[in-house]
Amino acid sequence: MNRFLLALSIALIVVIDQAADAAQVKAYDIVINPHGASLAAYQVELIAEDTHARIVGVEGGDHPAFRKAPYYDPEALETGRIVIAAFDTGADLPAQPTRIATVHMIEPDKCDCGYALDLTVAVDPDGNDIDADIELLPVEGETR
Amino acid sequence: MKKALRFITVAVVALLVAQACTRKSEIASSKDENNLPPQVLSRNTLPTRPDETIAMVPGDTGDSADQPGQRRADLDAPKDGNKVTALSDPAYVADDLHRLRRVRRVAPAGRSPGLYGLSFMADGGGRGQQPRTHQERGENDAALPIGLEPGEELWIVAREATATAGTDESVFTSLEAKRQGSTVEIPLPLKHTEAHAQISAYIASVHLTQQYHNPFSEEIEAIYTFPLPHDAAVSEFVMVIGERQIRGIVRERKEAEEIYANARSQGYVASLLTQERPNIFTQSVANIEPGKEIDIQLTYFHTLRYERGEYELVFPMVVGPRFNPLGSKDGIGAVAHGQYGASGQPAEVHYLPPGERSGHDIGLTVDVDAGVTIESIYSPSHSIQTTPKGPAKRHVVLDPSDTIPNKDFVLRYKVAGNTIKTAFLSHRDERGGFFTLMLVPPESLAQVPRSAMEMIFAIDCSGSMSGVPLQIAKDAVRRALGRMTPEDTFQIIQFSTQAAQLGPEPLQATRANITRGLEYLDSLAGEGGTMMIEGIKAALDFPHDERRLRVVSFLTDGYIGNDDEILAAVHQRLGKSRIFSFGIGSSTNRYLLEQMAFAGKGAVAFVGVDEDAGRAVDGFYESVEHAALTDVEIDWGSLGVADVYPSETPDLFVGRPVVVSGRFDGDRRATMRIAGRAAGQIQTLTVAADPTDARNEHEALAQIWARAKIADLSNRMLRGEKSESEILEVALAYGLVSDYSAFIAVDAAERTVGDHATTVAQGVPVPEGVKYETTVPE
Repeated sequence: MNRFLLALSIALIVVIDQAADAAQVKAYDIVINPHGASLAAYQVELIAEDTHARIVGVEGGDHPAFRKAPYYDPEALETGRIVIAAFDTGADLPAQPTRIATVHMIEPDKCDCGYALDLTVAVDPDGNDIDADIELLPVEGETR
Repeated sequence: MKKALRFITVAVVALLVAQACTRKSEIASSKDENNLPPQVLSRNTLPTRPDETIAMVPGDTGDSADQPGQRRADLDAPKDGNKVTALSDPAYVADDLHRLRRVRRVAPAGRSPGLYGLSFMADGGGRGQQPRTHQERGENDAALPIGLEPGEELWIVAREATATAGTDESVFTSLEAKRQGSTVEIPLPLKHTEAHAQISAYIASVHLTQQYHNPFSEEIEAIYTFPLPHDAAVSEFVMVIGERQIRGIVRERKEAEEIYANARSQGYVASLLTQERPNIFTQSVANIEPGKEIDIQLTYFHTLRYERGEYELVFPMVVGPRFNPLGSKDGIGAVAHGQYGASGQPAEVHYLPPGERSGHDIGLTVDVDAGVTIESIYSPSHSIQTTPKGPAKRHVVLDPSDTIPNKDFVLRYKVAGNTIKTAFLSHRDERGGFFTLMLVPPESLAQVPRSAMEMIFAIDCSGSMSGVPLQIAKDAVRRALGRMTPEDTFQIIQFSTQAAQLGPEPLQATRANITRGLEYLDSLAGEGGTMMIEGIKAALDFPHDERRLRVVSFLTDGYIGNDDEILAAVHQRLGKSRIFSFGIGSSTNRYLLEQMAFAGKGAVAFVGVDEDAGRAVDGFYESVEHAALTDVEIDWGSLGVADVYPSETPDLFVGRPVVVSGRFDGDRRATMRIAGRAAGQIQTLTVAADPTDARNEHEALAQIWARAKIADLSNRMLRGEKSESEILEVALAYGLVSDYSAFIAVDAAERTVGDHATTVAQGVPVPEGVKYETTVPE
């Protein structure tokens, strides 16, 4: 009987701990459509609606101009904002919709987490603002 | 609800545990069977644990495979003509092999055949076989004698039975090995480190790439504990998987560790960088699939040392084996490779025994832009190739023949002119202005006559100093004694497990007493642990001779794990002493020695095992002998300076500038006035600072300032102040690793198969000049 209670208790602790610690790992692509203009630099701001969601990585994009992992602002992170930015001074720049970054997130278990995404700035090589669109696309889970 | 459930559950468990205590003996018996302590293996104490087996490295063991109850398991295809073969109980070949670990190599190379002959005793179905010495067991057993040929090694492998350091994962060490001459190369996850340093003025920006791979057939987690300069502001962390680059995020350490554990358990590739000491870091990379490679790129910044007319860049390559006092729970463990958790410390460095090495090597390039003509450049530690790129620039490459990471890389260069000038660098961004100032002592300091001295030499005579390092320490003291005058007094203290000294009180530096001191020096030998606290007590805890300047000189490699305890003791016991640390060895604990000298208002010098100690010693004691510029105060003029670190400006010694960092809001050229006292005289110098001059710009200054502030806050903690939250705040705001913050990177886009990876620690060599036998506990 005692052994049964012990086993039950341990199982309960394990279940509770797992519930408390469980988290889902998800990635989101950030795609910018510069509508034919050459995209030389951007800054985006992402805010998670669930305050427990945490960014755990920022990945570079598809186009060679933005393949390097973009920088993030650590001070903004302290206020719950994810601010990332990148620029390229080369001649080969994307003018069509392109994934400029992927954000890697860890979210509370079963969270249908929403994000507010804002394209703070997008400019061409001359520093002129581009009227670009931005989109956040969840990456479908892929197992290697 | 969860809290209530947890409370009830914990209460039930407590009740049951209390009942269980009445059956103490039964539990103890069970524990003994399943959690045996690490065994010390020798010819007479070969393993007797039921879940152990043995392997021969390299070579084929011939007919032994036919022994009843056993079968051979080839663990790897032949490499370079060598093959590794395990004799293994069939009950735990396939599935369990990845959980095996190497316990100890017991047969040194070169012994005569048969000396370590073993017999295998079958036990029922083959479980519980016990290898024993052939001689001990006699011929009546169903013996399987295994004679070792010269050069062969015997490995004992066993299932993991003890907790790992900082992880609950099982561990193993591959049985795969290949022989290169007299050295066996062990396959380990860290394949290569590539470092590139860019020096501009007196600031180094270092980009480091660690290339991990998985040479095994199962998914692994790689753990590597490695050194960096203690003032390195680590501000970039990128995980590279194929062509994909994922930038890591700085988070509170506890949170980063939880995220890492969560991602690891779910099968995601993840990496974590934590700081164990300001100069020791641990890199963890989870879920590296078989055959795959993952690179970790780090960027850090730090200021160069300037000493005796030369700038010095140091790139440490290996952590020396630390000694932890009994009962220490937050030290840095030194363990034989594969002995996970054996030290009982939260962080461990795994050392490869003599004759073994990993395939890990290092590539290193340095681009120096000194700003003024470079007169000479050399490395006292490594072979280098140097290419001039103009009068003020050099491109330096580590020679391909010198790429084993077992000692600090040291690069020194001298610029034109006999002395350098105090140099001001600045940077301004949206956060405001940041600067560093290399404060150069006034030349007139060298003319100030010295006072009579009370010289205390505290020599580390522990096992790690045995051999060349201790010889260098003795030479240094001999040389220093030769410079003393009869007005001076001296004392020689030796410390290892305990401390002892030449006499009850300091001796007048007469010819006869110096002879006595030299004889005492000759009698010193290196053995035992490093109870540095005993040396601190012996050197600092006796009445001060008011007529003399007391100078305490520690001569040590600094291989201890209780750095903070020692530094706190220095703060508490310093009194009127000044501490001049003398670091000896190829991979010295520079953090400890620098901090001891800083706390002791003194200076530090280092000498490698390959260096001419005489020149270093003379230069060092020349600084000691001249008066210091004390009570240094800086009038910053119109620069609008705040938040300067270190918060107490150190005293200045001849030929030894110090660097201070701060913030400013001025926007025009200013004149700073630096004043101090030397031998009762006021000495001053003025320095121009121009934050608008683009030549003074350096983008790393914000991180360098933040790291200096963290170091200052950490020093306050040693004096009992609470600074944890402020350190964390600075680290998070400036994206730096610290005691309380860590870098985490997770690849959330792809998930590997499975939810478990076996932990493999990167084995490293002991530093050059250090004996494995006297420093890595058996």
